[in-house]
Amino acid sequence: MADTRLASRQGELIDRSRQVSFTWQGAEVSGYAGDTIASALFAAGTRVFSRSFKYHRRRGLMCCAGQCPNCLVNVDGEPTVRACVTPIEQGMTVSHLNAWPSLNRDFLHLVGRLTPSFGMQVGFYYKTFIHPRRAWPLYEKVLRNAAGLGKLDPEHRRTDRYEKIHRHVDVLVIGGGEAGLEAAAEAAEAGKHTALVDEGLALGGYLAWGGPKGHARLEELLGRITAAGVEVLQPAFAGGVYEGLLVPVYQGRTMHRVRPAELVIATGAIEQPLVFGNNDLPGVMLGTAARRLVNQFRVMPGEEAVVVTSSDEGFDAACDLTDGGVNVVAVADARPNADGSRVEDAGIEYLPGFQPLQAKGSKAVSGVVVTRNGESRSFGCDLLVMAGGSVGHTAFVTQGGGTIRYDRERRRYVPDSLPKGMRVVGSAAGTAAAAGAVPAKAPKTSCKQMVCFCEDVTTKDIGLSLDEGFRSLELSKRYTTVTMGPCQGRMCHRNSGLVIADELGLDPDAQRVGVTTARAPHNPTSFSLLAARGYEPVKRTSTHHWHAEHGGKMLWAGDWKRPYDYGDAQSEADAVHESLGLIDVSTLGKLIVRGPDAAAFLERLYPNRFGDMKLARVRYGIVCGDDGSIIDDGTVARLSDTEYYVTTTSSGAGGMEQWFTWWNAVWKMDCEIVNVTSTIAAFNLAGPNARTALQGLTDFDLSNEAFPYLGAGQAQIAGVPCLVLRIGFVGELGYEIHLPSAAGEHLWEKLMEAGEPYAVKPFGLEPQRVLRLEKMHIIVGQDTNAESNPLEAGMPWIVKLDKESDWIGRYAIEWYKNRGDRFALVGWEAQNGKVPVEGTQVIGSDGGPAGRITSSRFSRRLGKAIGIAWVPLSMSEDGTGITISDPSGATIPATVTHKAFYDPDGERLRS
Amino acid sequence: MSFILTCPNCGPRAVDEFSYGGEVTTRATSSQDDRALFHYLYFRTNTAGDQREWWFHSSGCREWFQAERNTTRNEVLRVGRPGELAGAEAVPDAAAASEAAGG
Amino acid sequence: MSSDPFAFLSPAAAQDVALRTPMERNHRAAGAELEDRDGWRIASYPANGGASAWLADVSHVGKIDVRGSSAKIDTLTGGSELGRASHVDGVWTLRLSPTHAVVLCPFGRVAELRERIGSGDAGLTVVDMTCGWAALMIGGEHVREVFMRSSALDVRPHRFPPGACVAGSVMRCASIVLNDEGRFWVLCGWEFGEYMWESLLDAGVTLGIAPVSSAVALGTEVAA
Repeated sequence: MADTRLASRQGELIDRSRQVSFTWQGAEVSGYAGDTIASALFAAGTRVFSRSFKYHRRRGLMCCAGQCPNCLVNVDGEPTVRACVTPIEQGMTVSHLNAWPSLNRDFLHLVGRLTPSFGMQVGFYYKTFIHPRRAWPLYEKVLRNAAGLGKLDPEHRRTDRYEKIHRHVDVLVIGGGEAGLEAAAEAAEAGKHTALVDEGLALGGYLAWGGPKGHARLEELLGRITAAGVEVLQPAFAGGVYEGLLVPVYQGRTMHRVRPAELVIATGAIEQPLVFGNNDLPGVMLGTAARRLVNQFRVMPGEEAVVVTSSDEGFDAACDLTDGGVNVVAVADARPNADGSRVEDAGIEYLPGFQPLQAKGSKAVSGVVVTRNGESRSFGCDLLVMAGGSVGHTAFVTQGGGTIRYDRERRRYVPDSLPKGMRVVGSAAGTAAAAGAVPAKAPKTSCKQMVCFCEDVTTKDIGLSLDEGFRSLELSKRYTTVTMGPCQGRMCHRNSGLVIADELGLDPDAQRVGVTTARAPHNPTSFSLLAARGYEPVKRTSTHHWHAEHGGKMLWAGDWKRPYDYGDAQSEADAVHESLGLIDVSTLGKLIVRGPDAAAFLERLYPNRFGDMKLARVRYGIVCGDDGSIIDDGTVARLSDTEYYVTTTSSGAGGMEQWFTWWNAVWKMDCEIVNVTSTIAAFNLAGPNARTALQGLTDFDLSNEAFPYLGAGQAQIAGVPCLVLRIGFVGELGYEIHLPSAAGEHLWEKLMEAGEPYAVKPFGLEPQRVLRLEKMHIIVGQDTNAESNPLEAGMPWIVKLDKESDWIGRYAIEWYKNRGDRFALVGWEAQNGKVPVEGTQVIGSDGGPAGRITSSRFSRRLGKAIGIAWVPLSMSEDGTGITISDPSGATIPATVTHKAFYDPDGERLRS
Repeated sequence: MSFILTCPNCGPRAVDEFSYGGEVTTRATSSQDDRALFHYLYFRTNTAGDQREWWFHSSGCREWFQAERNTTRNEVLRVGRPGELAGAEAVPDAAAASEAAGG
Repeated sequence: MSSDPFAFLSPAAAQDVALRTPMERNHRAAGAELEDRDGWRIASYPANGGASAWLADVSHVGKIDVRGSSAKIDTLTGGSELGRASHVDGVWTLRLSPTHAVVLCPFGRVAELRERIGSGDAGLTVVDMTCGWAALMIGGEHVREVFMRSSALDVRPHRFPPGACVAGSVMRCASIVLNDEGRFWVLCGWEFGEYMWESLLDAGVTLGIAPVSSAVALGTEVAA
């Protein structure tokens, strides 16, 4: 490869001893270590890097600083990578994003050429493509294909490892230019733990890219931050500033989630383009971009250049270009009275008061026309440098909750109020020299004058939006999408405001126009990085693996994994009825309530009465909100005068702990609440053979006389200390055994062994659902909702309105009682054996919906389709015939029943 | 939301470690006065400004506390264990509580 | 009813039972040997000298939850500040709130300590939480780096020195973390034990994390 680089010089980033090759559009390209994709490609002769968003115009390098959208490319399958800040790596595959069939011959470019007859004017999607109406699907397909930047491959699976790291620092500095380095050095020298983020390939900002004169100062600052131990994240970028000054910093495949005590914004200033005809042709670039190419990558940005400027920065660019061997033909300065002696001394023609009219050229810039009061000058060139003045980079200030205001003196937006903990330093704070007045646009040209490069919004589009009534920046933004692209206004905030002020005849310096909000993410960010390592907590019971190893179909149940069944739900339910079954109910919430006030506390928390409970007994209870709705249910066992053991639903475990501790925080009663959900495994052994099987493992007398229904007792079972609750969980004789989790698998295995002679079967959630429905046990949240009170839910017996004390829900339930019931929760059985879907409706006498089915299953034991429903009071009598709708269109006749479908008198439970 | 809340037990933490308990309200004590009962159950002041509220440190000490927060700036002005911040009788926000308990 | 209403919370009362930690399957899959010791099945990993980061399952350690008035908790903790833990005679006492402390002790001492703390007119609520929290320990040169990939808690040395303890979110689970001479204990719900084990190993994979025996982590291994 012929070396096209300028002579080696201090401050260059490239290592000429190490060649790195990669492919661009399938062809191999070589650069040096230290090159960005953009600098290597530019050095190799590439001038067109992308096609624009809407019109598919050719786009070349414009900012070389990661600000503009022009060099977004696809790297190894990842779209929207910024070529100008991404270092080259050996073997990487780089391609363009959005042209067809190729970058140089893009069919979609015709769309722009046919404008406006084809109708890509602003708001075209509301106007042009709506007739005829039926053709929209076709239009949509074509438009969707044409629009957007890059494609995500839905088949793509990330293979690289992405990391998320939480960091706390005393001070985080965003921006490693002179001001940022100084701030970081000061903080670290004062003993503060300091980190600095910079997205460039070299620290120093303009000290690094502005030529040799800044190097001494840069060396000094780098020495200080190294000595003071500043942690440097580079190249890396801040993705935004979130509430509480949370800053995600993206570095390669790592997301640092940084929480600084103090945040220093040292993001510097961003040079702005000028608005004139064809200002987006390849070869038109910012002064700072040209200087970066010359000074850092030692690439000549062109042979013959014209500089159009409205600030002294244009002079710097002209001098650096001359220094880099570029023939600078002229400098046209929009300011009529600036001192141009610097460029004249360098032998360059200086044109004060001249502003650019249009760039010439079709595929790349070939010349420029500049104008002053109707007088025009024309120059040939292959590089047109724009130096439109700089604006402070204040996006992070406003994102973090600060405000900015227009400073008339300095002609720019500057930080006004700042959130606690934020400081702004350097050019971002508006310290740079005052800018000159900038022309809003070229006086008269038929060419497109780009305001927003991301979204292809021209001066004409903005004018049209104002004509159509969107007469403010914010409205015009929403209509034209100006400032809405990937750069979030970094290339167009200033110019869009100027154009609008010009069109509306406003004074651009009077802050009448305003400024749009730059939102996060600051730069294109991959989903892989956002997701980083996604850890999803999963709760497993102590017998989780036993279930999985014995055919349990493990499904998510809330945060838990639980067996749906072990392959045959019906047989599992049959086993419980006929002989013996075992289910893992470790997921139940479990709370200890202990202390002198424990009984009084529960009396105040439940509608039930618990103070009169005898020791070693267990009672079913419901928990109501203060609005009288049922929020949970479970059992309460009394272990001693002052000690109770409470179980809650599985899904309610966390919520009930909060509920109990909340009221205790209010009442400050003399009792403690300890959540032992994790500590305790629980199994329910149920079926006619439960007693015999269990008795073989314990000395504890399980006879009906010694340990009757609703008894609670501590027993050593198979060597394990257990609490046994004799409750009617699934409608057969059953024992709910609570024990330390670490012994869970041991006891489970022992219970399965003891049950072997009785053909014991483990049963999962689905058979449990059928078994409990046969007993008409409700499921809170399935059969009840936020409007279900216990009176209407068929549990008036549980509500003790005669308790002398106050209790949660009492007043609302008294109110409901006075009002009278409107609905009732009832059981039903289908007359034709068909199972309606849950959630379907009960049909009223007028043919409309009158009630709803909350649970439905087929019970093989009963040979019936059964369920639970909310029905109006008029349909709630035992034996009433109701009609249930079915999605098939047919209806299902059913009969209301009040008593449990199975063992209605509970004889089996008590046997 | 990523603001910082200071737990009286555990110190400053990101808000995602906590569960919100709603406004501090005053409990109705009778079923006779419908208006007072419904006001307690269903009406909230929804203050744009400083507001007293309940928070539960669900990922930390699992204890309740109260905070005074400016709802427009999400700035937490004061925190205290139950009873530490002077003010009206402080009971859980019935609606937020039912939601928290149900979820 | 037994004289101890909470006997069913105490695994120490189990007879002829090999108690199992939630990570037993992980240990087996990693080729660790399972030894019966002190009533537990304990995983033994081959010696791994100089791992830059290591992880150990210490779930068999005794854990006691103590609640009561702040004056009484003051007495128990010797007046420790919030977020500080005392270490006396092999027993850690962590002060998590004015009214809440957690005791970590050798498994064999749980019964005795429960008895002692809850005795007399102490009026404290003392609950055996040995099976309430899975306990993991991370250590090695990169311990903080592993932790920073697992939690947003601030564990910089000056914020979280040896003897500091904190309740907060680790791997999105409510946890208790203790700095034991540069080794970090992580206590999380027993049901999260396996998830926490797998997640911490994943978080540390690029840092060279390797599982080690609990005896190595706790410094209780018998000298060869």
